[in-house]
Amino acid sequence: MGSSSFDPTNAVRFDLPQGRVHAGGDGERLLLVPTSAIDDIALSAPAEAVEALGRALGTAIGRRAKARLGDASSAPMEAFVTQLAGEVALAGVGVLGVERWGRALVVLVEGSPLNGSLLAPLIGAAVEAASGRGVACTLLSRDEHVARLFVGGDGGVGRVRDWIASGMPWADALARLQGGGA
Amino acid sequence: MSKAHTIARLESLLARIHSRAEGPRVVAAARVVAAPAAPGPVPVMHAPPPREAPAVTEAEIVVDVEVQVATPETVLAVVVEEEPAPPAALESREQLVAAEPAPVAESAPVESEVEEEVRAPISSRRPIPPQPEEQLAAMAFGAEEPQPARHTPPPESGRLLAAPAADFDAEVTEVREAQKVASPVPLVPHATAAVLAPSDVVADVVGAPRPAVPATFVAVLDASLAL
Repeated sequence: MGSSSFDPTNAVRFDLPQGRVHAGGDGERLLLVPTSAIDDIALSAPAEAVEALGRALGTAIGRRAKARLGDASSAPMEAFVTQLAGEVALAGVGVLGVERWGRALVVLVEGSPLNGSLLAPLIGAAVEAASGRGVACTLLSRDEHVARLFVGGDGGVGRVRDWIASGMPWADALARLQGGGA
Repeated sequence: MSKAHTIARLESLLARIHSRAEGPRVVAAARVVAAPAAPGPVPVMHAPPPREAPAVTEAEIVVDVEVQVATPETVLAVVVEEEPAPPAALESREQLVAAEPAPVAESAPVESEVEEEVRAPISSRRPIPPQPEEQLAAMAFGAEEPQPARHTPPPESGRLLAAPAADFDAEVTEVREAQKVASPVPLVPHATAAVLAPSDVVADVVGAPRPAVPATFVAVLDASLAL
């Protein structure tokens, strides 16, 4: 499509006689799950399981966004973000936005019910599925309203994660990643 | 004229003499004291008797003279002895000047002073004293709250500072003439030419041009993946 506006018409179809919920043009079956159940899994399940769950959720969202974009490689920045943000909103994950800190790509998610351990693999997988590039993602910050995540390669994400774990502010970590800062 | 008629007239005349002999005796003595006296001691007994005008003008002067001589002389002599004899050198005018002022003449100026105190001028600093009615009310019902002064003090008087003589001439009351300014010198432009030498180093580029913003999301993602 490549449209700069998101069209949610018939994005989700509820088949009440069959007791089914379908999303997207291919009719992927969905399951309405309470967020409390997802939180319980994220808190109790192993980290690999949580990451696998998050990537599965994100891959489904990214695939639907790619279906809307068509040729994602040539899609403008606004159009890509709009379609991806629309699918994220339909899934109930939150409001997605993008920031550029120099060359670093930072994704913002506002009002998400998911915690950081589940949100980081979800966003990474969604961008990967929508763009067709293999990406890594890590959580930079999280407060009551906004979660900020860095999307990059495996090496860069790994360094930023280590710097933040050592106590460096995430902005300084991004600056250092680009050759500046301490 | 019958004899009875004459007796009746004599009796009526005698009654008149008695009645007149009572009142005017003192006045007659005062007149004797104030009259100019002859130099030297005056014998009391030889003082001239006062003359009563009505008695002189009566028609029956013969009968009157006989009666008057007998009655008032003793009374007049007593009165004259009580008055001190005036100095022989003084004239009647001097007596009037040397006389002590009467008590009535002393009381008159006091009343005028009181009136002056009450009628104080408007510009006076002194408040006007309360009216007699107010004084009576204060005496009867007690003094009320003190009233403020009825008059405010007049503005301060004094000499005002005059403008300097060099700035203002008070004697000139007409339209003043402005000071004449000398005619300006004709303007002549003064040109200044810049000296500019040719140079090869003019521009100095600071920093690098800002990289173009990637047009697509994939380009942005690739830039981030390259980090």
